[in-house]
Amino acid sequence: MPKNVATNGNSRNRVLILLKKQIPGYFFVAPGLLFMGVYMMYPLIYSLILSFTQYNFAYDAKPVFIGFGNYIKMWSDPYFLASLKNTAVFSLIFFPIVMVLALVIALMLEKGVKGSGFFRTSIFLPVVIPLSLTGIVFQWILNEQYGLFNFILKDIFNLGFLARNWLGDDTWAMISIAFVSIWKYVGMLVILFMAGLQAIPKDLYEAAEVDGATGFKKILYITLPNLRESYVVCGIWAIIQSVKVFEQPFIMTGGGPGTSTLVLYQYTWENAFKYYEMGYASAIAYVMGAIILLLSVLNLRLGKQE
Amino acid sequence: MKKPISVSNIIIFTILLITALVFLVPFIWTLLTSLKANEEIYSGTFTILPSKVTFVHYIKVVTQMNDFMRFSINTFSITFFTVFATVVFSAMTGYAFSKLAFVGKKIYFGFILLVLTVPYAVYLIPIYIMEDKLNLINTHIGLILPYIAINLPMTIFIMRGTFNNIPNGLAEAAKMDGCNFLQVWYKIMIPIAKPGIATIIIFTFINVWGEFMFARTLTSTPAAQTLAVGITFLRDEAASWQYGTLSATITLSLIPLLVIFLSMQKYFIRGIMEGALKE
Repeated sequence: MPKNVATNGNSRNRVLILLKKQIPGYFFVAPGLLFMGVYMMYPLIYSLILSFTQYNFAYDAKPVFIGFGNYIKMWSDPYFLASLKNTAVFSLIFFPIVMVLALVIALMLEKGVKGSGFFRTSIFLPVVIPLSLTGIVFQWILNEQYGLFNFILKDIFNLGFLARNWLGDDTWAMISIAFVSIWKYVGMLVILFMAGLQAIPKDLYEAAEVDGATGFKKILYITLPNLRESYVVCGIWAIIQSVKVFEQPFIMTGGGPGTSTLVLYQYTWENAFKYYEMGYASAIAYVMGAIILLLSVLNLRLGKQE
Repeated sequence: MKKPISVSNIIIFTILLITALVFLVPFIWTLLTSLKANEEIYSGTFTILPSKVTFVHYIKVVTQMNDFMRFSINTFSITFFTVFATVVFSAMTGYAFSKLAFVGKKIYFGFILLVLTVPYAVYLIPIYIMEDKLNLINTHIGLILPYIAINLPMTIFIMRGTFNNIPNGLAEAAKMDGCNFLQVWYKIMIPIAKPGIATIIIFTFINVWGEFMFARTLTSTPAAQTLAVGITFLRDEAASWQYGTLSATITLSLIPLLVIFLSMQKYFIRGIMEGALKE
């Protein structure tokens, strides 16, 4: 399409040409946008509307508008408060350990010792394993009678007194779930940290070597401060994984014993698909989304400030 | 990079070796248990290697557990169609966002970034209501459609990055040679974008093969269920814990995943690294 036609032609022609120019772009984005429109944009708006209604999918014919009712009700709902607390407990165990462990492993892999490729693959492997299979395997490994973990404690380390029913204990159930999640996800953060490590300019290290810095000093004064972007990327990723933890407790403990491992996501899911309270469930889902957004923004700002 | 063997390298090597073993133990344990006879699994004494290798559990899973075969077929078919459609749509949309000008481009792209951070639970409730009304619950298409949608934001992002690395001059030259906008895309752009496409194939494959929440919610009969969900029901159905059968089932359902991952690992890890650096 030669350009001078547009400038020389009359205004109707110009509009036509402008419209014609849209064709390739819209042709390519239309199918993708259609899918995301129907299965993401529409649900995003619809569940926001639902969150202001009382709507039992099994009994009610139509959603009934109740304003902020759901958003007020949850703060006196003991199960919601328990699930909020449990999600916080999970995050407080999971987040710091997974971040530090990933950073330490990435620093060691970066040294390039023999076998690093194999080590990296082994540590990354759990990331691609379905969560439900991870849950089932660990439920069995942590089993009191036949579990590998108690076997190792008893028969290999002679620490039989530590053996217990890991997932059946009020305190240890959540800790166990957090450690299974660390096993599952740390490989992802290792890769992200390694990307950050490789982006640090080599001449920074050379300059430090000239100044006589070695080993730990180089890590302390050059590596760690220059990883700021990685902290933000990894931090946001780990926050999302913490707040939206679902499959691990759902499969391994079902939220129990009692409500000790009931997390926000599972409580949302149960409200929606066990009790069919779609309005209330949507409200909790939105609160969860708000928590993720808030923590991510906080992380971003902390990362920029330092 | 070859480095002289030093004390610190030996220490790092040892720590990494132990760490790698800790990460591999659950896999090794599952595989070894699947090869043990029931008497040995439930004997109460701890054995690492099977005293006698047996394939009874595998034979049982393949010949007697009809549900397992059905779950596998469902998983294969759902994964195949989702990956195929996701690759086509994200190669198209990613291309448009990277190389073409059209009205509303920024708004659409902002929308894609927004939906990336929203937890799936927000989408799942309306999707369930919608699919219930359209009678799509317990159908393959009822899972394939939302799977395509939830994978698109990330895969479009990856493909846009891939096309951004291709110089604009190539398209101009092809236009001079008389290619229309479709030919420019599939004759010039797609072949160069192959590494990006490999990344999204493995990314989508892994996501869909093991997806749990949508599958658990949108299907309830074995005829429609996938492996990731079906296995949890097989576990519940077994009156007592049948670790032999269970570990054989798990081993079998991991094989396709491991084959794909180990053969395409390079693309997957590079995709993650590039994504991280761009953000």
